[in-house]
Amino acid sequence: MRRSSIRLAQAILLGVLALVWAGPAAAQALVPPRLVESSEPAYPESAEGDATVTLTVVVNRDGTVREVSATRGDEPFASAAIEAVRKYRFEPATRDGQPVAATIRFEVTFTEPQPPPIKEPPPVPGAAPANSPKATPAEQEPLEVVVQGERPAADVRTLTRAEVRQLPGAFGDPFRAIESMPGVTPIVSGLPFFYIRGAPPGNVGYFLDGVRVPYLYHVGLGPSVVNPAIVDHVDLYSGGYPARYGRFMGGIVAGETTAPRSDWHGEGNLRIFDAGAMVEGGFANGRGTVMLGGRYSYTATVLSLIAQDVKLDYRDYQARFTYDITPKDRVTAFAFGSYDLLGQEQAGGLRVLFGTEFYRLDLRYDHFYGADNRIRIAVTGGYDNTHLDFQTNTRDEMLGLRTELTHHLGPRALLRGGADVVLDHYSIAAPTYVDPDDPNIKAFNTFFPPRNDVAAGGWADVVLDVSSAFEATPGVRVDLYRSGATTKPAIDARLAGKIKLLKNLKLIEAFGLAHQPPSFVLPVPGLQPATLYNGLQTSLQTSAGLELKLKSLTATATGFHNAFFNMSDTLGASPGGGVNNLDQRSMGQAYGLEIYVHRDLTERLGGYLSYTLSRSTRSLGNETFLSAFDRTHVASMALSYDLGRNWRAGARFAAYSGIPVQPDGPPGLNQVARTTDVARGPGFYRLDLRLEKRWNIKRTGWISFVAEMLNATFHKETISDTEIGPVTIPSIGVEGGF
Amino acid sequence: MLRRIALSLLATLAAGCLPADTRPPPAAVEMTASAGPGTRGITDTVDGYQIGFEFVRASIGQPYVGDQSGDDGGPCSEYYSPQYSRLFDFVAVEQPEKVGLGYALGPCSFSYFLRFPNYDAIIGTGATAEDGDYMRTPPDGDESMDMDMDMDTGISLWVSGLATKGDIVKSFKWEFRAYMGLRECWIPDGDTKQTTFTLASDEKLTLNVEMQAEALFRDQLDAASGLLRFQPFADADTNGDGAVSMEELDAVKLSDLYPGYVYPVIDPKVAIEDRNYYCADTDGNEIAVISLADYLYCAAAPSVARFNGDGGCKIRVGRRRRRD
Repeated sequence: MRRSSIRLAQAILLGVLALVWAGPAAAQALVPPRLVESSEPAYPESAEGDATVTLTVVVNRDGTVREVSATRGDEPFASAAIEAVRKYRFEPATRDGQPVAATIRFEVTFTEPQPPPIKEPPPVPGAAPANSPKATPAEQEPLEVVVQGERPAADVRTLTRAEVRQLPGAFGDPFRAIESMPGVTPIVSGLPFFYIRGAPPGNVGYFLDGVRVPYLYHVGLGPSVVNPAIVDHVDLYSGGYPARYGRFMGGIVAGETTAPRSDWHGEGNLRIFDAGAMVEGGFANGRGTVMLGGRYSYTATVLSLIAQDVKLDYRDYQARFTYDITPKDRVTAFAFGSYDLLGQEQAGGLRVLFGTEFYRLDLRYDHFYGADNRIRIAVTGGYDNTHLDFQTNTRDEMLGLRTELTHHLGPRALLRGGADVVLDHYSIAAPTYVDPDDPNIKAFNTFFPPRNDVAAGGWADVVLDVSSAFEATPGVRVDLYRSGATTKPAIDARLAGKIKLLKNLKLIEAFGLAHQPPSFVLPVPGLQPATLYNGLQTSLQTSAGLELKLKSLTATATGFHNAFFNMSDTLGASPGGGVNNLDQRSMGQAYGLEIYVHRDLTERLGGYLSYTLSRSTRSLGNETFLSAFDRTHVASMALSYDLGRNWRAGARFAAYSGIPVQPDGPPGLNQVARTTDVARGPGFYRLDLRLEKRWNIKRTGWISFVAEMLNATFHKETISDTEIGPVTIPSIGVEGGF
Repeated sequence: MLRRIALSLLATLAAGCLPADTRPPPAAVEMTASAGPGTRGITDTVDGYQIGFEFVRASIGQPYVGDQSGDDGGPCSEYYSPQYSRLFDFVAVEQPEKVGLGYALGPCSFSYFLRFPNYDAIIGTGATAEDGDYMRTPPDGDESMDMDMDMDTGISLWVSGLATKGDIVKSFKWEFRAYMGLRECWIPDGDTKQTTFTLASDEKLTLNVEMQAEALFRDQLDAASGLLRFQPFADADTNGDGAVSMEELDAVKLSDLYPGYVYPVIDPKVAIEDRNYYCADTDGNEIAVISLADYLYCAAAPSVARFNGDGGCKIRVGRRRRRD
């Protein structure tokens, strides 16, 4: 152990020295990989029509292909393209004349073979037969080149949209799909709020392009508030996350939108309850792009056939405008928002039972310089508004300013840093028809008073390629929080590392200290507790695991331990004391083992197995007891198979242990001693199904019929002796794109 | 055009899109509680006893103004009902005290609870925080207490007093550990009962509950025809210590009491919803009213709270501890 520590220290020292030496060197232009050896991908036998597949390819320093996956494109074309590209050889990317590993994206186009002409001309020696399949490999420049210095953080799992589309029960939504990941414990089946390594939903931060998303799922249960078509991928950081992410102590779910594209394209879907669409294209000869997307529910119309007095509406929108002022300077305006309303017609008017909306406008300026370096300056404006029945409207008008830097200090060191400040002005519209003496009303007003909050901070980390077998990422962030008259500082240290043990085997570790202001049970726009005077929540996150890559199969085994201090987890700790004790703080810990075996779901046969063995406890006073939603075993597995002729079927099986039986004692009565030795409620399992039939239209168009069902087995779940459900969500719809 | 779009966007950001509540103004219904003369003074019984109370501590609240069914979408529009209780010692209550303020519109029914004071209960006249803490504490040494059954083992009503007849002095100190729901309350309307209160916009209505502690000793639910008797309770003091305990009352079978002591008979043919009172144990099963203690728990104690002085409510007693 001691020897390992010394080695680690030596490695870090070497890395820092390399950084210092490389520091002043001017960054040279990055030369992307060049294809030197390829073969024409075979046109799939069962396919019809033309198709284009976008691939993400990781090219090693020796020019071989390390990884390849399809980020856009349908089966069986995607598999055919992947199969072919695996055998390609590249001249590696270089920086400063030195070869570097790089990720590139490019397209492979398939053209359906034409029937032979009646009078076939004599073949030209050496030429392909006229009816041979025509496929275009990467003759064009790569669409995108990312140097591997920006490869994923140590403890992150990434879900791409292309893959999530094939995941049964996720409805094509990457944000919903995170429940399949190890370390993620559901509260109730079908409800997209999760504990992540023992941390409750209120401690998990959601981001889209670095902008915090205050509310992720329509009416709590529905689709995410971001149209999946604009999401390129979602990263789940379960712990020890990069220094860029802070102010949340439980986990980070970070979505990135697709890169701007100047060719006109779009997609849409039409389902029972809602319809969504996205369209994007370029102008000014490709210097500018504009993207518009959104979703609109017609639940009000559908529900009116069943319950005429109930009103349920949700909708969201996304709009992005980019313009390249110069080849190295880009301005972006990105706006997105969401609206939910649950109401009831009553006494000739509308009673708003629950309503929430938020809007964000992010204005960015990006300057690219040198070899893949970037500076971003962004201003974000936002408006949140939530209405709770009996209560009132709580509003948050926010203004944020942030800057981010990505700078290669040398071939082996990547510096990332940034600073930001966020101002939140919370206001409240006093309720008219309530009893002012009601302790619930008083507590609400005390918990969410009008005020101004400020959070400001800076962060930096360095991705160090200490050697070809060791990558280390030390980082730190400093934050200052102010709420009302209270100010609290926080310093968070982060350290992540990857050590290549064998050719295909890595040791991955992550460590992080994270702080967060007090949080509400669930993320709801505008509902941010004002109890900073009770201190920041703190977590100490550690994890270590092995990652084994065998061709298209990836397997990881990760052990983790999270220690929580001063956490405001009323959901997990269920403190007694009534509404006047909403902010009772507890301590806690979570530890366990995560197993994840994964083969990309876009493969002809893809799937995963995810299993988490864990225990999560809370401590209040002298008592230590199980967290209210502690589940010992959480397992999930899925298979997706290309049946041929553009049919694809998938199934996901999910199962988990029951929660502890009422460890929180009787509500309202004096607390009964709680322990970790309690019985559990019954476990739960469900089966999700998905079936898709796709038709390709011309070169890039497609249309699909998709039938999907979450909990097709109609199983009910028991929570605290209450039987829930069955929560079964069917979805039948048509999707299409061009 | 662009300017118009920009202004629209700014307006959206400034005010949002969520609609406001567009219902008409409701009526305000205030519930108050007062103490009857029998609670604060001395009451004579027909069998010659004089009864006085040392304290009558009750946690009363959660007034609900809404549809009888409790469903939304009925003819009554419930806007808001308070979800808290207040703890009083009614021996000390001189004037009607506020219990809660609700808002509703249309033809509505009224109900409320006697239920243990939880942490959010407001301490009212005569009561102390220590009283509240004691009343929400489960009984000592109760090994049989199952965590999923003890939700309402706190004390809803806690009375202490003396009954004297010449040289005979009997004391009583009883804790009623059960929740008592008083539903579909009514006031006399000639020969009928008015169970619906039609509420108009901006109207203000006050409904009072009078605590008549002497009703514990009434031999019928009907205040008009029932008589106050203490002798069956005095006779229950079989150990002769002068204190009438709940255990002693549980040993007294109603069927053994002398003729004329009338207790409510439950007709099993009548649907539960239509019964004047219904008593359940901690499992939710109906309790047969067999002993004098049963009668006290299931009928007499909840009728201590007298709606509008001369009205009444359907009584629903739940979670009474099961007899061992």
